[in-house]
Amino acid sequence: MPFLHLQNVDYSYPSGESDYITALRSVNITVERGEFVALVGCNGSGKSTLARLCNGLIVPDGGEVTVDGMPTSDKSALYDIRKKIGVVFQNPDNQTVTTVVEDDVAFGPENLGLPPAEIRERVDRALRAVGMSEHAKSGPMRLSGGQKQRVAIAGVLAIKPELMVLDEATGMLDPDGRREVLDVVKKLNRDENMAVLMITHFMEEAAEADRIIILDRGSVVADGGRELFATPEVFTDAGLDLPVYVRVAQKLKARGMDIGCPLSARQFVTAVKARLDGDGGNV
Amino acid sequence: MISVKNLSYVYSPKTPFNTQALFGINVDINDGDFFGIIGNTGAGKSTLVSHFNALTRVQKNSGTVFVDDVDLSAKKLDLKKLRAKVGMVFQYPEYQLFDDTVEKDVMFGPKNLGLPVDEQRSRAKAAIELVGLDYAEIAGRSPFELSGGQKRRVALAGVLAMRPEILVLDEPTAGIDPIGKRKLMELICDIKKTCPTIIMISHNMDEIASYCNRIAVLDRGTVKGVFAPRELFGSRELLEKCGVELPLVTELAVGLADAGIDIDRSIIDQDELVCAILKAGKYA
Ligand SMILES: Nc1ncnc2c1ncn2[C@@H]1O[C@H](COP(=O)(O)OP(=O)(O)OP(=O)(O)O)[C@@H](O)[C@H]1O
Ligand SMILES: Nc1ncnc2c1ncn2[C@@H]1O[C@H](COP(=O)(O)OP(=O)(O)OP(=O)(O)O)[C@@H](O)[C@H]1O
Ligand SMILES: [Mg+2]
Ligand SMILES: [Mg+2]
Repeated sequence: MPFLHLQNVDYSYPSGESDYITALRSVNITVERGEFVALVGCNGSGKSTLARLCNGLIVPDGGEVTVDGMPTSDKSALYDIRKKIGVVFQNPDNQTVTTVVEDDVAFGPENLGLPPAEIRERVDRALRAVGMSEHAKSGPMRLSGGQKQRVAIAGVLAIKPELMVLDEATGMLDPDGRREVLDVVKKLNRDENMAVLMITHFMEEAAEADRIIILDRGSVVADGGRELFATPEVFTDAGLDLPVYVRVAQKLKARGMDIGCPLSARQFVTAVKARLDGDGGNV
Repeated sequence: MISVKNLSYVYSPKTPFNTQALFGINVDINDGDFFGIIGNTGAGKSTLVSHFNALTRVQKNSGTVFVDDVDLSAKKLDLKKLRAKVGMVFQYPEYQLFDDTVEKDVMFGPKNLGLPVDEQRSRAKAAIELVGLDYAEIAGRSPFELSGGQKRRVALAGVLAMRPEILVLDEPTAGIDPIGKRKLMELICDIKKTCPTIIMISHNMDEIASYCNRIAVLDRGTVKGVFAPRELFGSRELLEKCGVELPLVTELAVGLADAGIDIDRSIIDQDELVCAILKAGKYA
């Protein structure tokens, strides 16, 4: 049984007196333990709605969401579900509940009823992981945009969930900071088998996942590995872009130099080099 | 023109929480600049630009900020006039939204300028369409019921409807989908025709490199320097000194150069990279 399972999920938001806005339509998604999945799609395609469904913040109108076999519609299971799934929401300000950064990060572990020493250790570790130790005593309202995001991520890390959902959680970070956070998440994924569902607008980031799911106007239109980039239409039809190395490779091909479809910056360099060396400059 | 002289700023001064965010900043932004501001989380970028429309007031004995001939450290300021001239889209623009429909929200600025209702509405409609939203579909909806990226677009429309002369954008493309990002940058270039001075904070080095003519690097409340894009991104020394990452395109160019291919390391544009590779392979 998949760890996270969305089966035929429909979800609509009420709008005005009698109107509805359909956000998700017959969505089927699985995330296995230890998997690293990227979720991409245009603005308004339903990604955040899906994130809210994962931990039972909202429940589907049709179909079912289960976490480790427990349906999110079962209110008595919500406590257990939120131990297993941690969601970093898109807007960090909505999550700050207390006045000091370290208390904010301790909120989750405290709710789990952990002993104080364990809480202390988790909070310190989480803050260190996101580079915010020196701000432990600051008020969350006194932080810059990127610092708030780091604190929100630490708050979920401290819960040590089995699945971490990141909804554009690094959108306000500098490139270095984004890399650092991604590395922390990847390390937990590798060393502690934490599953990750990462919502992102950066195709280069999505390319680092084991699997990429594309949402388009509320429906899943593709679900597969990096090789999806070899069929660029699935991205462009959904209004998405391609990683920069894939785009440059496409442009080279259009000008008569075919290096295939590189799936990382390194592959790009290797492919260009091989091609240039192979041609021996005698073209 | 915006002229910042020796500007310092302390949050919560004279309290145990006081944090100095800016240390003696000097920077001149000229009319017609597409001025980029980059720097790590917490460097002071948002604090600096929030001075430009007097959202943050210049503190006593902490330097000066001039917008043309208006001294923002003066006690009395015509805020209405200043804010019509300097349009600002915040880092989390969703907090700029407040009215119960998208249209009313966008009309608020023009209304505040004392324009007639017809003009308010026509400006709102034009601005909503300009940011790539479907007016008929979205005008009557509540701005709070939109997705993250949709909210950002509405907030931008609200500022554009004021037709400012200087536009300050704090991470305008964060949270916008990739095609939307590109379109938004094209849109900003379009806007530049009528609003000639653009100031943009961004963590996206590709955007900074492609669109800005001058780039200020901030680091822990100080200006490390102001550079032209190629000057900065073409110099390993400067990049290291300033702690700046490469645009992704430049990273590819550097990767190729490191692999022994004859390619300029300061390339900041995809098409330029394509041409350089073809040339190295004698395809061109
Ligand atoms: N609270 C709400 N009330 C009504 N409609 C909503 C609400 N939140 C989202 N929607 C609508 O549901 C659809 C999906 O929104 P969602 O926030 O899930 O998109 P998203 O993929 O996360 O977009 P983004 O990339 O902009 O964050 C959109 O059409 C949006 O306008
Ligand atoms: N309201 C506030 N009260 C106290 N300190 C603050 C406040 N806002 C920001 N700071 C502090 O001031 C410094 C500069 O913050 P600022 O928001 O200007 O950074 P930034 O460069 O915009 O960062 P980011 O890229 O994360 O948005 C940071 O150290 C931050 O912690
Ligand atoms: Mg979203
Ligand atoms: Mg900021």
